[in-house]
Amino acid sequence: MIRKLRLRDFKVFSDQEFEFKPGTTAIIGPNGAGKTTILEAIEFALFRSVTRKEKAIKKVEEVIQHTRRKATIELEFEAPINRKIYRVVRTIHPGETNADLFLEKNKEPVASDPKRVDTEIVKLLGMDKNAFSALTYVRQGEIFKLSRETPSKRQSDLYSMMGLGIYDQKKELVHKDNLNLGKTLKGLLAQKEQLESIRKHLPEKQEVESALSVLSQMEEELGKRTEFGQLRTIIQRVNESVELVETELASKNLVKRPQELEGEIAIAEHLESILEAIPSIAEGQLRPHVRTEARTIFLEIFGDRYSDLAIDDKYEISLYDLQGNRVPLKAASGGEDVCVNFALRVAVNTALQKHSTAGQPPGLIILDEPGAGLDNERRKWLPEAIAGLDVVNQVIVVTHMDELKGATNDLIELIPQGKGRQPLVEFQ
Amino acid sequence: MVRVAHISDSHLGSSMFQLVERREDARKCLEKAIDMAMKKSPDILVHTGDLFHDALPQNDDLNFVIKLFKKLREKVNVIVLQGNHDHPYGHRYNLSPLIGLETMGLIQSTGDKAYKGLHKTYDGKTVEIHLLSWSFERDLNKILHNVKPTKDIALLFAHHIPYRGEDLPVIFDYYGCGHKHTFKLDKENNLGRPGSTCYVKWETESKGTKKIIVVDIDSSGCEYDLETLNDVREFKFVPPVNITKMSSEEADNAIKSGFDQISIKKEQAIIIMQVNGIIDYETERNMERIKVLKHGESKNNPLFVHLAANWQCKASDKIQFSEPLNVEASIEEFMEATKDKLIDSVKEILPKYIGGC
Repeated sequence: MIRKLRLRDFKVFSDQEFEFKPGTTAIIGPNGAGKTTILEAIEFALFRSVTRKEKAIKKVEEVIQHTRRKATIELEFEAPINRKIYRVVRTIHPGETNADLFLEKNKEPVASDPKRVDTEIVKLLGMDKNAFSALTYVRQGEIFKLSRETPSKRQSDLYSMMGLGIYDQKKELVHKDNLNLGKTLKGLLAQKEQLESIRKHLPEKQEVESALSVLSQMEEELGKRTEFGQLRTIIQRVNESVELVETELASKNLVKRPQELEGEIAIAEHLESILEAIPSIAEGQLRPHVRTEARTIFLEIFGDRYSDLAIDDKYEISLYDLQGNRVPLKAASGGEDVCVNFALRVAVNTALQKHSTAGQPPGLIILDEPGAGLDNERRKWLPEAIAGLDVVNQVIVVTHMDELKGATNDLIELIPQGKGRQPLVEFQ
Repeated sequence: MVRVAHISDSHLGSSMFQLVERREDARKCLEKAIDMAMKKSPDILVHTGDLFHDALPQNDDLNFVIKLFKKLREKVNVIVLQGNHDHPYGHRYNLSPLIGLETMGLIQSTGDKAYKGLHKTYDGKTVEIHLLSWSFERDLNKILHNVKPTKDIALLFAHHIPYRGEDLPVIFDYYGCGHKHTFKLDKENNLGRPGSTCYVKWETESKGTKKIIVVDIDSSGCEYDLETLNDVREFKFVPPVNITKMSSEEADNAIKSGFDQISIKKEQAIIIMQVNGIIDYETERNMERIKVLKHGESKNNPLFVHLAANWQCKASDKIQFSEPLNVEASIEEFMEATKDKLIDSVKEILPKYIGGC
């Protein structure tokens, strides 16, 4: 899906072009050589944001090379939706970014303003950033944790790996809004209560009117006096207050608005409960597919020892050997255990690609340091497993493992040159 | 005219299900294939790669190959390509066991490179032979686009040719390849792949066949003579059993009766049954796989019985999301499925929360 990436003054890269082909590509280099930068650039080109350690970084201008004014990213990609080649160009200045989206070699952009480009790209991908990253990206360190966790932690981790955390985020948003609505409602009700208690201490409208008519009668009988005038003014003031309280109490803001708010709150609460219910159903729908995919990946490597890999409704993972015995993961060898994890983790992505989009999936998987923290013995099978991932048509592996050098179709090797200079990039 | 006997992918050292017997089988299968091929008195015996299953073969396999090829010296030109299994990752041709065989003069291969070109004379005609071991696709493309044959007959042998016959340029009289383990021959475009000499991976090979391709090549065209190659051990692929919606007991019985219905000719066969369907987690937990396998092993004295679990487990949920990660669509589908009365009101407030990353 990713064809070409060109970076100018983007972090350590002054001017560098990368070409990506279908099949597996390894990006190899020691720590700090700029491997992750390439992934960040791809993310920025597509979604105008950079995620680091699972958090979006706020100041994107951090990516501009020191002493430079702007950074430019150009990314050529094949849109899953129509198989056409698009080119997105984004420049980053301190405080603002620009974007243009072109159809293949066209000079006239399809869209030009960053927001419009964002929307257009979401359309072309058929999914938003959350879904895209759930389908394509396997983060550093995610591979080797699944088997070691308790079933409930495993469940919540699978949730977030599947990208279902988005429902929690949305629920949070609705909830926050709902709290505000609640506050407003409370304020209105308090106001109403206060007015009502004031009304209790005021005379009724009729009483005021009859007081006024009594005053007029007295004037008639006793003749005009200044005191009557004063009395009249006072009574009229009282009358105004009574009327004011009445109109306030009868106003739309205090009569209709609270009702409306109550309705809105009820609907929002309902939406919250729906957002609460969906992920577990969705997860239940996807889990069987994850298992099927994981089984295939695992047996591809260890099929001469095992006959099945299962993850059940209680999130227990088990292996079955060729004799049909259930083998607890604890009894599997280190390498097998890690391969189970690898299979499960990558299966989340392949299952999502196959079963979570209505349109064409991106067909791309990015593995970030899949061998991190493993000794040679435990990751022996890794090159084979990666080379065997043919469910998607493009696999990009970012790694410092030299073993992967020959195991992929293409190789991009980054050789640091020190002192913040652009690394030497070799293609094979 | 030149006669070529084409075999491939013998994978010596592979042992399906870690059965030691299969290592011996692999050797026997290769020997059998070569014997059958030699009966056709070919000028060239070509093996298009993956002679060994591992780049570090064990001594018994290595010694076997040396003895086998020694017998062929003087009788036929033996060409063996380096397959992806014949050298370590990274296209390190110099680390392949084939290098030693080549040094001994037992075979011709591509040395420590991916490619080698040879000229030979048979029957008064010069034949140019292009050899390409396991390599990058671009190396194959270089040959396909840059080689201009000058001799009477031109042959290309490559471990893997990932193209259809009709997409190949018409420059070689015969294109021979391996890598995939099932037989394929395109007589129109003269592209042949014999398949492996033995079963290596049953999942991909169970539906195909394996053959020896004997081809008489002349500048006027090719004539083919095919011999079917059977593994020295009987492989029995039981028709798949479907256990959808069954209880664990029913599923066990269905599988057992699947085993009961097969007939086997040889002793010590390998029996493989695939089990499909959709069941619930309860059924899966309670199935007695060990007993079922024992049942399969109790008849016909097989070497090995394999139950390939291919079923899926599903909790019974009425709601299905078409795009589980599309929040808006899923909310609508959820509300429609639950016949929610508030659907319109909820839809009204949705835009406030959906959209934007």
